[in-house]
Amino acid sequence: MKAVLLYLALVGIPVLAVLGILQLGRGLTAPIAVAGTWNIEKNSPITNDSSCSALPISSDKPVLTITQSGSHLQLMFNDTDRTTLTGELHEQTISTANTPSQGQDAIGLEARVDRQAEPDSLQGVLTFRECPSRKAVTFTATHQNPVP
Amino acid sequence: MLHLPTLLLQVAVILAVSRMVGWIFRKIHQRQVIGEMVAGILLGPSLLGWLAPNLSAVIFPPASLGFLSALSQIGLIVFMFLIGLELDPQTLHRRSHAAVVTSHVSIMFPFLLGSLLSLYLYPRLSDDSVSFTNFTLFMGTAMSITAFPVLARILTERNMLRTPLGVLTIACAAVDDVTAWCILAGVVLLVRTAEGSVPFWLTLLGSLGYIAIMILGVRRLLRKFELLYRKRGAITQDMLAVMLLLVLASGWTTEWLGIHALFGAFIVGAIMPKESDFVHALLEKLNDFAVVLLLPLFFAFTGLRASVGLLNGGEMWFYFALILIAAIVGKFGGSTIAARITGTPWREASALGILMNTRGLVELVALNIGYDIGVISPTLFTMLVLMALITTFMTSPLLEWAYFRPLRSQARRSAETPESISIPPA
Repeated sequence: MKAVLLYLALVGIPVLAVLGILQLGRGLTAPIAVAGTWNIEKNSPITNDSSCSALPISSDKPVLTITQSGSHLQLMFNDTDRTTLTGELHEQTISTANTPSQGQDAIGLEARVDRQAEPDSLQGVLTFRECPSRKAVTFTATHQNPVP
Repeated sequence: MLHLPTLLLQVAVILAVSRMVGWIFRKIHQRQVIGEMVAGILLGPSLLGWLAPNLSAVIFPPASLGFLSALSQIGLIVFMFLIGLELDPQTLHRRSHAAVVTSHVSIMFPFLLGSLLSLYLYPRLSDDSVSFTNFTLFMGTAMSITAFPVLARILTERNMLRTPLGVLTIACAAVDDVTAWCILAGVVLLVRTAEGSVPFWLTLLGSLGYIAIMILGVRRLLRKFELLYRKRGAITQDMLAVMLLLVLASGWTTEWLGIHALFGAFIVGAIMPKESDFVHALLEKLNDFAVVLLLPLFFAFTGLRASVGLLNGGEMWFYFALILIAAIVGKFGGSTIAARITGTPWREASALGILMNTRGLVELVALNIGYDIGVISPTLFTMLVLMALITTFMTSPLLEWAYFRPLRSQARRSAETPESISIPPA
């Protein structure tokens, strides 16, 4: 009898607690999923400026790969420098911290996720802090596939 | 397209670095496998990719990783078969009352802490493509895993396998292992059926039917291998080929059913005859190739996925500290307290807790499955990989400090003062 009570106390209670947690957590919401590959289409023409470094979306088929952990994002372009930005997701808006990898110009990205579109799309703008002569570039991106 | 020189270079670099780091770890009284796990991390973006990104891009170009992944998966399938092979169902049947309570508590306590932690981490490290239930079940499983094969080797090396502590530990670890794989298979099933068109009940029934066929039908067939082995005195190449075909077929079936291919490989190993000579002969045939060549590929592939750089900022390290604390308190604390309550002396109880806290490469296998099915994010994956490394690394020194050193001191004292030895009444 003692053994049964002991088992119920040490195993049964944690099992009930886990079930309680599963019930409790149903009300929790996590940030929207944006991880994966996004095919970029430039909406505005790109001005070439020799004093600025190459645009991360200047290739024929620019692609943005987003790695997500909650609201923390890592955004990587498929340019030769593999320009990488870190960013945050606030509800449906992605904004980068403007702290690029070593040797890269400071690039800012702000984009809004449209989840009503099929597939999901991004409406965004790229800004260039260290190259004021270059105008902001607006872009649209469509979700190719979710990763990890 | 396969670029053979790149693949050969990758395998050579991985093998060389694994052996080197493994050797260093052996010098500091750690197991070779822990060094190989660390080598994998060093070859990834956490060190090589960070220190020498160009070199990393030459050795591990992203486009080539598919082939490395395929090789490492094959290695893992063979290794899961070996894990199942080493699991003797008799250890599950021979359990004492203490082992039943301790093993179940050692699963449930870390599972509970992992679930509790999910309430905090889910909104912070996950996204809405993952349900809270799947996230929590996976976190609970990740916390409650014990590395059965590593434990078995530690106990063998320390001549503890036949001691009461060794018997209790191995029984608990075996139960933990089987339970963890069952829960993990359940999580994979939940995730994949949520994504696919096949209904959950159909996949579940299919899985149960498959297990029944394996246990009731294939198991009998496998006994013939043992008889054949006894008759011929060796495992022939034909026998080995048929066994490997069975492993691959079983892996294919479980993958097709929606639970991972690794479970199929594990099940074939688990239902293999457990006559020690036969198991030993089979291990000898496969172990070296799998452990020396294929397993480091898996560690390297894991390392290429894990990036310590993702833990950027105090907030991330705080989450990691919470995971580490929950993992250690849950596993070590749960096992120790349960063993103590069921009558195991404190020193043995704490040694059991230390041993059960070893997660090793079994945890890495589970984490890779979680990553593949998208239940955990890259950052959480990295945090859990680091947790697995730390909890595995701490086993040997803690065991030495908490169990062997006091035991030796006691033995010395007893030898110095023979009159103090208490003689039990006749």
